[in-house]
Amino acid sequence: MIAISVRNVSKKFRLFASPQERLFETFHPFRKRYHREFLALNEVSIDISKGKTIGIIGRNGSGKSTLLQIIAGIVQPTNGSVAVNGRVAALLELGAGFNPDFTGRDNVMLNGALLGIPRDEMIERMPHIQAFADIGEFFDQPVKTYSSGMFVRAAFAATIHVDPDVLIIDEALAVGDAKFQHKCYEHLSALRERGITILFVTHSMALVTTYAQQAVLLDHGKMIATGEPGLIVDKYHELLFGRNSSSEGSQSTTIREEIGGVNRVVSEMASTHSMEDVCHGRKSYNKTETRFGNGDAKIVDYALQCEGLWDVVDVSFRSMLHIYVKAAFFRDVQEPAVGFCIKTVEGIYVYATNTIIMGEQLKPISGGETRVFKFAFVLSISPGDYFLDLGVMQVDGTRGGCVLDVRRSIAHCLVCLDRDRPFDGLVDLATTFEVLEEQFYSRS
Amino acid sequence: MQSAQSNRYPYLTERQVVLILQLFRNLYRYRTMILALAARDLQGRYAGTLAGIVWTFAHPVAVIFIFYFVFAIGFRSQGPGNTPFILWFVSGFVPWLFFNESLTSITDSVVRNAHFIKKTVFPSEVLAAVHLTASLVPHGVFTVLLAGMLAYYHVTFHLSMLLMLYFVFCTCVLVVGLGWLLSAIQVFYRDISHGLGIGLNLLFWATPIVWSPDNLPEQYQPILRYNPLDYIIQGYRGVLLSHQLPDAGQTVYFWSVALFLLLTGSYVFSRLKPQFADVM
Repeated sequence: MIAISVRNVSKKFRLFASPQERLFETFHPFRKRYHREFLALNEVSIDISKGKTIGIIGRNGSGKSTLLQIIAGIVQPTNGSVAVNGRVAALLELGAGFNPDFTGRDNVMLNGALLGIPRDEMIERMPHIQAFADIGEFFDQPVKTYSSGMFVRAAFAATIHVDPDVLIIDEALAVGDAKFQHKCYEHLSALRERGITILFVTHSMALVTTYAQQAVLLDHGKMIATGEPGLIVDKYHELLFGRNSSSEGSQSTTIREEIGGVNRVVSEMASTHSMEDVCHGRKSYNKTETRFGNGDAKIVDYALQCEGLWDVVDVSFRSMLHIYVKAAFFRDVQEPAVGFCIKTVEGIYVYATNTIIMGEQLKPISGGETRVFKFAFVLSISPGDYFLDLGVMQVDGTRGGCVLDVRRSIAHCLVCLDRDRPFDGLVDLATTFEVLEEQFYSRS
Repeated sequence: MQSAQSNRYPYLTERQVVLILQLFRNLYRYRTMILALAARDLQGRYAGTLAGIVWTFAHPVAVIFIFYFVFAIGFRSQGPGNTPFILWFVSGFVPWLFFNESLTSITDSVVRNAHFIKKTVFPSEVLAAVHLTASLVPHGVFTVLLAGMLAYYHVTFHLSMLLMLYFVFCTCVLVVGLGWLLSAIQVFYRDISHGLGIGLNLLFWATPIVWSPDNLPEQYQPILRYNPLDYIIQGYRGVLLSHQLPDAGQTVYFWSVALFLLLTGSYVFSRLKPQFADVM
């Protein structure tokens, strides 16, 4: 049985440069058009069968929320049609239409009334809702005094206790604390077992793969793909980090063919004595890097080299990765040091080191000189996205040294693996395995 | 404002009629919610003030006081037929207050409840009824005060005075029609509520509330009858003070205007309602 049927739904928003233009357009005798159209959804069609849990993913502005709003019936589609079987309860962004001046209890009552639930029945359910929200005496305080966590607790409690047939959740749960989130997901699983169709939007890929039975990927208002969550999440990653787009036009330079090819490009990098910063020209360069340091030296160029490819973004799992860092020194530095760090998207340090803790001693460098340093290691980290920090320091007795220039998240790279990875977690610990041979069992 | 699709059907289609009827049906369907929201609106209006609901009455009472001093004591105005000025004035001012207050709050109602419209499937047409209901409460209190004044000035009670309820109903129909119209347009152009303030001020002085129509030169008097508020104000005074009923001609005229506005309001509201969530 189909719970939700979305047929060729498009949503256009009309953008006006100013409110006056809206007025002009409305009253223009020849219906001159002043607006620009923004297509938030473009011919989206999905059928969702009853009892399924669907995760909707996509970049910011890809139309996820608009689609949920249309399914919930809050926003009307410009074209196409939506049919929903049964009662829809929606938890959109923050709050299910809570009035800030009302108390939590009043809002819950109102929410029930809007969905056509008799007053007595809501009163009967109130203890459960109050217990689920678990916000103590705030339940009888105006909602405007709530923290965002309390808000979502009350809203979620209200939304799931109105016996919906279809439940729509738009990223709302992200603000709850871990314990509450856990409770919510447990409850969602219970609801799912009762045959309730659940639609949710999230940026957490783990949630999609754990809870959804089907995922839908939207991009620029179009439905790119739908299907098994794992596959769709992979597609989303491709989209997010432009693996496809970068492989089309700008292939990484292959230097494998020529003997000494690496040496050639490296010496090209090293022999350019320009102190100009050219990092932004690298394919893996991340615009949103952050930077600090006293400026006595600056990182002016870097490159990632892997499997004979120069300036790469994608690196293969377990391959040797070479990181080249070029620094320009503006003053004499007696004991320079360099370091790097690899982090996950969430900012978890996978690995960090520098020449100080490695026990390397670098020769003094005088102002006006440039140097190229190189780190190399085998990438035994789980496939996915990683960010790279680079830094130049001066040895001052501490583990980190005195920072001359640190560029956080300067590079963004993707560790790829063609086959299924043989482990879970962040790091490949290169586990060995054996079944103990016969001789160990007999204690002779 | 209309989408390309609706341009193809510029006139009243069958679907549009269904949508308009739905507005009225929702007023009945959500009646308990309307009452709850109205009660909350009254409570919330002066939340955080010490005097609370007293503020609802402070302003009108002050205005009555000022007019009393200026007109009754300053200009020595008299109500028609030797009615005390204060009695005559208050019985016309009370319905005006009701009209003024309810229309002002309804016009803002959709915009002020954006959280419902953006986050839930909300029958926004009920907001007009909510604010109308909320305004009925102070109106009821004023009516009681007015009854006290009538008793004080030895106006004897007469069953026909209950006809006042008919004029309350007239005001409600007028206000809902106008309110739907204005509150829907207000979503797109916030200018409406600013303009409304001035418009209501002009209307106040254009309606014989503080001045008696008898003072107007005879040739202008028929013009007054085209003001639907004149029908209501003179109606209140008629049933309360002089046992006079409005004439049939003006009644027909009033209802034509009120029903026309109600239809226009419900048409415009139902046409614009689907776009509310887009622009808020």
